[in-house]
Amino acid sequence: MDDPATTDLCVDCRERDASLSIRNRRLCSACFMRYVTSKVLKRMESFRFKTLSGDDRRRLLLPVSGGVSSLVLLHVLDAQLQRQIASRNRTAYDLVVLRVVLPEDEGSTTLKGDYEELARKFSAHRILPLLDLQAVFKLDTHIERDFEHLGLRRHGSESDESFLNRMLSCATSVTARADLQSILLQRLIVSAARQHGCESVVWGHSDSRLAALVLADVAKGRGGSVPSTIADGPSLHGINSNYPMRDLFKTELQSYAQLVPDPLLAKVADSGETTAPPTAMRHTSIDTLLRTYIHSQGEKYPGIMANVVRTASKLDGRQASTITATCPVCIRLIVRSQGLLNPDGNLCYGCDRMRNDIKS
Amino acid sequence: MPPTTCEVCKDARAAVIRPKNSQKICKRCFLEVFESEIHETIVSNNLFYRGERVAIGASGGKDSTVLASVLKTLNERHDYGLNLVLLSIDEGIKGYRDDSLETVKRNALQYEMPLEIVGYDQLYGWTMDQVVAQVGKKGNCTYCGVFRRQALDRGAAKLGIKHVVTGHNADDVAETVMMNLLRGDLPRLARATSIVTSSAASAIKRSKPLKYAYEKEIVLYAHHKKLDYFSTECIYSPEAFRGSARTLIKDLERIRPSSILDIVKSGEDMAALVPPEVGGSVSCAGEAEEEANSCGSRNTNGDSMDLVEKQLALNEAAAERETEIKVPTATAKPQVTGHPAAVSIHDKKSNGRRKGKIVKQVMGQCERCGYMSSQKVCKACSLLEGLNKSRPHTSIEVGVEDEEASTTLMREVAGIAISAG
Repeated sequence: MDDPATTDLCVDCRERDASLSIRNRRLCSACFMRYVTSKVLKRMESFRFKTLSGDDRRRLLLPVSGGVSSLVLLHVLDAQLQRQIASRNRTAYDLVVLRVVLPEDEGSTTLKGDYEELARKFSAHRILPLLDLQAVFKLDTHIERDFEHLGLRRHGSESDESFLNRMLSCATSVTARADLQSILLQRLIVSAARQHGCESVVWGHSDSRLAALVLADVAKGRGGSVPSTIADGPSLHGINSNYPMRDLFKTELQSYAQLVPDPLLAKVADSGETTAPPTAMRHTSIDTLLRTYIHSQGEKYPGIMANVVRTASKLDGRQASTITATCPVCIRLIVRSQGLLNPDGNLCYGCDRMRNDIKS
Repeated sequence: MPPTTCEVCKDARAAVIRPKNSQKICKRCFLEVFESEIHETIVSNNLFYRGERVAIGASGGKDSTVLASVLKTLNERHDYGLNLVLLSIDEGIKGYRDDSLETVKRNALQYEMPLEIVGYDQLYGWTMDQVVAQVGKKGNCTYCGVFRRQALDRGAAKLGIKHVVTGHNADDVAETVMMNLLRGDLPRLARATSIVTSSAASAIKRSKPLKYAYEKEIVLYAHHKKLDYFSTECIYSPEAFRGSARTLIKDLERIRPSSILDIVKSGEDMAALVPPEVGGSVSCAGEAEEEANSCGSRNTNGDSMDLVEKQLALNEAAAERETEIKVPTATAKPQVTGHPAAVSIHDKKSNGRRKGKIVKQVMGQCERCGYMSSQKVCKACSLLEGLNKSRPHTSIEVGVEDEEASTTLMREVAGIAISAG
């Protein structure tokens, strides 16, 4: 009966029929879901009961983007916390959930409703109200001083919103704009974590997303900050960063979202990477190009794309000899290696490069 | 529309938009700024010393031709006091190298530099055409790269020269950074960006004075200087990783022209972050690598993306199954078609999983040819062994692809050449 040609049993449980091919292994959906959960929880081991001392309450900020990865992360962690409640009547950590509304989300008719739905479903956790990107000027007390290095200053009594819009419109290239916005977003999320007493931000980045970030960093001259982009643990912001989804591919998270009987996840499962047809190159940002690259190459060579993050994480951000200071804009280490390309001034190369594309 | 005036001299009419920074400048200013940037690279890195004899690795292509021309100009203008020689490798590729060598011969006259040509057939008993006939079009670039690296060193040694300069440009370096990142090769990432590569064991230093020069500007320079160069690319197949990285770099350049230098900078910074126990290993002179370039640097490596992908998948599967008993090499034997010697140059590392420890390279000498090598037998000799094994058995030939009818005769002739040598 065990004729491999005719039977398609799940290689893990050897009971149910396999329905998915995951990294060259045939799995049934139950074993696949367990696989995803275990990959995430393995990365969450530093937040177990064991590591708690005394009556500590540990808080983690989970920023959701409306995409599939962060929602799957919320889903997996929610299930973990529910199990902890059931067995011990307490949890090893509390989740604080945040959603930032980006300029491109404005006019979205579904965002608010979706977030309310999420808040109802995950009401066991602290769901913060929607936060606009310009809130960064209130929560991050240094940002205005820091951004003067880019030549960006508030005009008189300009409101936060118009300051933000003017700032973004000063970028003369799509890449610089995307760069600027992602720095603002990062600083906002970290500030919010600080405000709410969270010790760490747990990001929903999949392996694929991290790989795209690594390549984009390299392409933007930010190679020196690759370790701080993808490392788990303390960051220069003073708040820890964790990437519990780092071992999972985006496509796996999409499959997971399709399998879980949850309308919230089902909604985002398909809306994932639709890979918009290549528009004119100059309207594409470097970040978008590399996301598309990882996505398209990842279909054929998932292992190679996954290996990018593994390779990059071997870079050691603590090689003291070459590190001089922290960049005031992106809050990452500045590496001044030998070579002809070090900028003058106190910005890192990547931010200096971005400044060249900002005309205020 | 009035003609734009040059942004540098504000006088002549702008004729060039610099690919590097979109500056509109006149022809004269372009040539001057291009030369002075290379001068700056040379001076700030102390590349040369007065009276040094330097061999220019010359393929007849645009990069090495521009390098030779610029070095001649700068040597005279700034009185470097260099003694420049052209060094060419004849891989033995009909319809490609024979033609480009003619260009190098003309260059030698134009620049009044002595020319030395070293042939694969004399050094190894095999021309690349014969190697390709033997191993097929896939993976032959490994042979070519390994052979070329040694051939350049041997050519330089023959001339009593200790410094070889190559025409690697910024695009090549950026490409190599991306490529090494994609294939997870940290040691090479650590050394690919350095302008001078000299290994402790090698007597011959290599440098790339065009490291910060854009390929597009090199083409423009060659065009405006009316240089005589050969523009056909190697007829054998390009390598997948290079190809993929190359396409990516070109797309990035289109989005933001500075990308190429930005990637070079990223590469320099990342190299500084590679932990010493990984990156500190001596650069292995016997390997085919980023250094080995004269076929436009595209064709240097034999491991295809598919092969690496397969190995990664196997490694992962092995890791999943792994229990306390660890079997180091059982599972991940790469499936190589054809000849056993066609195994990628990474076979040592990727057979099975590498455990935490990193084995440091210790340089010694190849016990066959005396060339420096981290192994008992250098890469070139072990590749040759694979090639030569099949020579007496021409009638058996199992699993050899792309075989041509003429090969048997070619091999016999080459066999005679070997025994005669």
